[in-house]
Amino acid sequence: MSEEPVVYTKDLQKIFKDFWRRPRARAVDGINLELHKGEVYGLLGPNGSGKSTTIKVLLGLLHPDGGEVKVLGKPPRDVAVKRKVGYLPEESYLYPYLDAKETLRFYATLFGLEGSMREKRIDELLEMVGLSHTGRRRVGEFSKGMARRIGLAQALINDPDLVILDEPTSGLDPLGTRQVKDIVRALAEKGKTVLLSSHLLADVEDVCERITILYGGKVQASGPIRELLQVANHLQITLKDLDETQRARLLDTLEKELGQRPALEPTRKDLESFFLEVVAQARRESGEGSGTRAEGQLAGFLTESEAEGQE
Amino acid sequence: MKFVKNFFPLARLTCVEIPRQPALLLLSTTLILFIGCLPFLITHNLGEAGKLVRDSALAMMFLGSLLLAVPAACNAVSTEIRRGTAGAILSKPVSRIRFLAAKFTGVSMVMLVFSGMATLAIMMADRAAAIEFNIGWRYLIPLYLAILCAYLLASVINYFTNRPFASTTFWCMAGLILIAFIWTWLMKESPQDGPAVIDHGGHSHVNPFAGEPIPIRWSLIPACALITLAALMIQALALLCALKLGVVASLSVCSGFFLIGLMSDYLLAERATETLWAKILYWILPNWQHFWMADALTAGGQIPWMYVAQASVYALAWTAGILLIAFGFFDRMEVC
Repeated sequence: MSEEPVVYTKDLQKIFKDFWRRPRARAVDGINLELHKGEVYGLLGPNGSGKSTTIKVLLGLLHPDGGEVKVLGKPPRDVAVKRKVGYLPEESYLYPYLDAKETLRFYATLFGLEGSMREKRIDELLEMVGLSHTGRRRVGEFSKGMARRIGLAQALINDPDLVILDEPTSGLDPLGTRQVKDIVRALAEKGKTVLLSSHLLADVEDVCERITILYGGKVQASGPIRELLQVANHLQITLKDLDETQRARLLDTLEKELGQRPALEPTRKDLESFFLEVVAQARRESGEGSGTRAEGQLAGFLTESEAEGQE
Repeated sequence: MKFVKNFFPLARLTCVEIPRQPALLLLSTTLILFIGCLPFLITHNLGEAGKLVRDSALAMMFLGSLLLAVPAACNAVSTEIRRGTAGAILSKPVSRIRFLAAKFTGVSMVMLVFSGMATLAIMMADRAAAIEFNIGWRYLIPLYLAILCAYLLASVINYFTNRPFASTTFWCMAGLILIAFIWTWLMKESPQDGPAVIDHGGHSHVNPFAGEPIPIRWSLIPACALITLAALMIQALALLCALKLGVVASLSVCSGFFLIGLMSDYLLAERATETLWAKILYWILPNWQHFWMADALTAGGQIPWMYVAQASVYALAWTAGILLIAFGFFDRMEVC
């Protein structure tokens, strides 16, 4: 692509040192990344594989020991770059004595947001993550799932161009997970770039276009998710509404043509879809909410056109 | 203007967060209460109770500033780095210098409030110890009541509004001690409290609840202001230590500086004229003697505000130097 990448790393290296500055662990070893506008990119790997370290280098919190890093075309420590970045940390690091609104207000003021625009954004974000009803309850009393939701809201308060989400679905129930995934997809549709780090593979598979798998600080596999998951020499045919006779005839024909009898299995839903259907049905019948009321739709200010959103 | 926009919320949040630590509330209450108890702990000495109370109270304020500044700085910096909130903030458009400057400002505001409370408590304790072999309870009881009421009021506020108990008590205590001080300041002679001298079968003593009020020793204000300046220097040092060390290690380093700074005239003043290393050390180490004016007060002297201004220049220069080192160090530091 001719467009400048939103995130660019070349031969990125990060070595953690001990008190005497001796190398202790090579956390990141020659990682190359290139993320483009509107893309949802997944960073996968087991614990200690270098995902969070890479993210912290991209945020300018850690200094690279080698290679090149650019975020939105500039070094990651540039304060101007951080105006356009939203970050959800692996743990929701929040001030426990503030309530949800105060937390968002604090983060909004760090971006210089003020007045009615700030309050509007806060209300819309709380609505988006389903926490508008928490009132004066302190975030220190929130469940992990609620803390993740408020963490996601603070990551989007500045209407960022690049959203970095570190384990965004950890601690969330399947409903919350689905909502976060819907939000990620919607953000990408609006032209935001999303870098998502997770070890929950199903979540990454659902939302990411391209992924990089890390192990021991090195890239083990990288590319479009469709290509990486494609099983060579295997094809899948999906047919609807076949009766027994039609099935038998199909198998006979295929056996006669191909010289092997193919396996025939009914298509199964995934557990997440089944769970969401059951919950939706239960909600319709009882008419009660589960405590959070979001539907995975973006906050109003995030859907506004770029020109409108400019301050 | 942009600097103020995200500097102020950070400083404000630090100022709000620090008193929420129960340990800081307990420490500040103990220190203020101890200052308030000095008159009756010392009164039956062999005279000079007023001097002893003043000296002990000022020493308590000085030591208390050290004991409070270190955990406050650690809570503002090292705890935030460890907890991850520092990283979360630094991922926003906040430069590291601004972050640290805001933290220092926030800690300074809390320490200033503590110094204010201690100054008022010292002035009340000084009045209570003014009459030899007698305790001026009329100046102490309002102080005790202020502390007690702060706790009760904070409990009620916490019960009805769920506001954090520790910080509410801290701020209530500051307000109520000020009210108690003004109350004792405006106190007039009260004949209804009985005769000025009570006779116990030939043995008479002064009625501490009656008679002309003891004048306030306003000269204690510059003395306390000087200690506040010294506390500012300790805060800067504590903030520098807190970037890398925990509370215990930071307290050890700051205590070391505190002790060496107290003795620097004795240890280095003479040698400084002879050797270069002593001269450099004497120049670098804080000299707390510049801020300790208890002896001047005892001699009946006044502390000129010009002297306070000169000491401020010294304190601010030293603080700025330490903060510059802290900024340089934090700018290169990795925040996990």
